Amino acid sequence: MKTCIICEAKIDLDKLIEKHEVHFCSPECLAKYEEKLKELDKVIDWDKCC
Amino acid sequence: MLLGHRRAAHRRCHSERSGAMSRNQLLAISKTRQSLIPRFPRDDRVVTDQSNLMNNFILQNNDDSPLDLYQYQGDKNLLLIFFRGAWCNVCKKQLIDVSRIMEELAAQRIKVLAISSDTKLKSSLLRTFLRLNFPVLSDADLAVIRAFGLETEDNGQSISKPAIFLVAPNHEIVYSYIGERHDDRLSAEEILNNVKISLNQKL
Repeated sequence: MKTCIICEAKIDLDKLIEKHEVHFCSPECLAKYEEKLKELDKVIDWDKCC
Repeated sequence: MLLGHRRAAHRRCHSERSGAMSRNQLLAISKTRQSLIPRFPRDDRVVTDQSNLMNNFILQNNDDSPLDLYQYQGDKNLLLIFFRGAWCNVCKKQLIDVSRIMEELAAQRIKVLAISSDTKLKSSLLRTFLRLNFPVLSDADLAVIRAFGLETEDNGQSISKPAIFLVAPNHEIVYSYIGERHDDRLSAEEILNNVKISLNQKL
């Protein structure tokens, strides 16, 4: 069974959303992923390293 | 699981620190670094123990499908890239660098796979964000990282040392480079040059 990349819930096949080569259990989780993607410049601090 | 390898290694220090940078700026830096001259003689390559063979392992793709290393490699050479994590800018630059030379690597019959101790979510976000054209896998329990003898600590967290391994189709490790510091990396051009030399030696 597939798990949601965001909430790690098991996904019923009829609710499975495939995008970005990963799986989501709901449009909300997909939206969260895309939000994280948009904010990645902030999440990953380009100014600091190691 | 595998290998006791002798770690010698050629090292190169590029202790560049980035200012506030966008992805495009990072790409620009990657391009300038292409002009670095590779300087690794043949005898400098790192070899593993007598057998030199890499055992198989299975990791999960970010979509939960299993990735069997031998199956993924098929009859090609395999470039394994171990990196510290999505938070490491030097790692990101190196991954972008490698994605730029994928055609040249493919011409050498080389497939690429990147591994870190990041979660699947971080691995997936990093791959999507950097538009990498090779798998970026999570080894969150460090099973593979430990098997390669790459585990190290950073701020109390277990992560992988930066390293690359070139594995021939018979699973022999024909080249490796293990960074001893976070910024101890090969440029894309150096990687390309060294894997070509190693593959020619193998012939």
